Amino acid sequence: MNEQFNEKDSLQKDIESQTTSEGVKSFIDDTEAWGGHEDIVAFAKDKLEKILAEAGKAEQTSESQTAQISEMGGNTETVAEKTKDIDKQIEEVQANAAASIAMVENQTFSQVSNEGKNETNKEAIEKQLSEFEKGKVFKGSPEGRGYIITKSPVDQGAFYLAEAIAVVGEDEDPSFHHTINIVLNKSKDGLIENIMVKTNPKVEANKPTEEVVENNINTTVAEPEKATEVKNETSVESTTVAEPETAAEVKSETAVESTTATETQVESSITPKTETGPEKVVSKGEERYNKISNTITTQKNKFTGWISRGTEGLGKLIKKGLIGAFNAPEDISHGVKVVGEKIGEEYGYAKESVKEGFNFVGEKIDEGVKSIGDDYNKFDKATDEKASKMGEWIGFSAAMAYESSSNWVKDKKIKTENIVGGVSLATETVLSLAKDKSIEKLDSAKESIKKSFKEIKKYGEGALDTAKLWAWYKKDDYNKKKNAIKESYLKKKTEIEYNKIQKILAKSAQLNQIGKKGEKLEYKIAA
Amino acid sequence: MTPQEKAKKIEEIYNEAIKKLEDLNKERKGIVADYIKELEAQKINAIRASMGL
Repeated sequence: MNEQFNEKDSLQKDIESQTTSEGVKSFIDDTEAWGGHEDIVAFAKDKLEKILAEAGKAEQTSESQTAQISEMGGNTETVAEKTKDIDKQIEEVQANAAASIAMVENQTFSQVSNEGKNETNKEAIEKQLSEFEKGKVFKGSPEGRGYIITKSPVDQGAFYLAEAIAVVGEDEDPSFHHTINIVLNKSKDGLIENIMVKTNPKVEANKPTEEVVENNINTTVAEPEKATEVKNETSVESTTVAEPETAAEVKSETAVESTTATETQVESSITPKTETGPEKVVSKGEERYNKISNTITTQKNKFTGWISRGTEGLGKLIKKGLIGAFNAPEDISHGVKVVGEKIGEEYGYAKESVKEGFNFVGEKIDEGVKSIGDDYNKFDKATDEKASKMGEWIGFSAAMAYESSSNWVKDKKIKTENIVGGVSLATETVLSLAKDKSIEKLDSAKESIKKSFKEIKKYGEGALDTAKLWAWYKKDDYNKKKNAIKESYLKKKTEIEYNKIQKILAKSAQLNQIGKKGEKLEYKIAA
Repeated sequence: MTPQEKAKKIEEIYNEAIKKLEDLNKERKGIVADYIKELEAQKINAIRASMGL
């Protein structure tokens, strides 16, 4: 007994002395000391503790950063808000690792204890199922999926666009009073289709009548019939800006109006069909759908907020005078280019994920087939039947994996890796049981695994709803759109309308005449 | 599954988890660093405003 303890103690010390993963791997490969269940438990426990310690470290803000935040007048609540998604992912990694390690431990236990071994595996599978239900096993939980979707670079692109405009309009000069017309056309999906800016300097009665200067910036190129179909025009007519404060107010109103219009559309487009009546039961899928819908609505509102901010910046820009207005198209074009590129990246990323998902499933199936083959070769004739059963299970798992992932793919533009991850995990469970050569375990696992596939299908249905939202959210062909934006941008760059420039210059000269006495405006003209 | 295989499996789970946690840690640090930059910018703007710039 004492000798056993010493051996175990020595083994533990040996494991702990390995500081690199290579070292541990080599130790594991070389040692002959692996005897029983307790050693594995000790090893697993040690690894789990290290994972938990790493997770604890990852979730903490360093002392130096905390000190800086405090020094700058920030607060930890904001940090918590900003990092909540990451913290959630950290917790998921911990939970997944703990569940997986527990699974291995249970398998070990079943190996050393014949009594109740089926029960032990059943428990392990049920534990996995319970994790499925919580969404932890999926790489992205149901909420996580929503996060992935709504963390769309399109929004970021819009933000850049707003930034580009706001930066130019930042330096406000109240010397000029203009009549400003801003026509902001947005498609239903919140992308700016067209920003039209008309500036009409307020002229004194004895001055010659000013002609409207028009900068028409096409930001995205939609197909004509589509554009007509989805266009939502928010137009503010002849807003006279007399005072800077008033101007800001008026523009804010403009922004609010446009936001409201879009919000209404967003809601009407994405709110799931609800049945009236007291007996309505909200399914998990529907609940998730609603949650994701709400998240997207929030994102859309943020998006329109950014557009509003951009519009406001644009207003300031124009108020500054025609210099700003002249420079604006280039900056806006830049912003649009960024939006276009981001959309392209996003679309490309979605496609890559689908591909990755399939590869992942493929790899798991290959692994399964190989495992069956390897095991089969070792079996004697008496095990033929067992191997055949294993094959059946692997085939079933693979078929389910394909079915689930193909549901995702049918709806396109959505990640498959979450559901594929879930199915693959189930497949792995079967595989590990198969490797154990315990058909009894397979039989006992049958119902549980079937149940797990039902769960996966249920998640798949939720995913389909999500996919519909996604399809709505990005209903156009983004590659086409990206190219159109690129072309539009290049065209604008290379074919700047000479006449318009001349017109603006002439207008600038006129404005200079009506500017404050003694003040001269400098015109920055792009080369 | 032999004890060695189980230990290998645990090791794999461990390595994967640690890698993910390290990546998330980096990402989190980046978010906090951005927030600090934001605060710095606010402070600079406040100073500018107080100087009438």
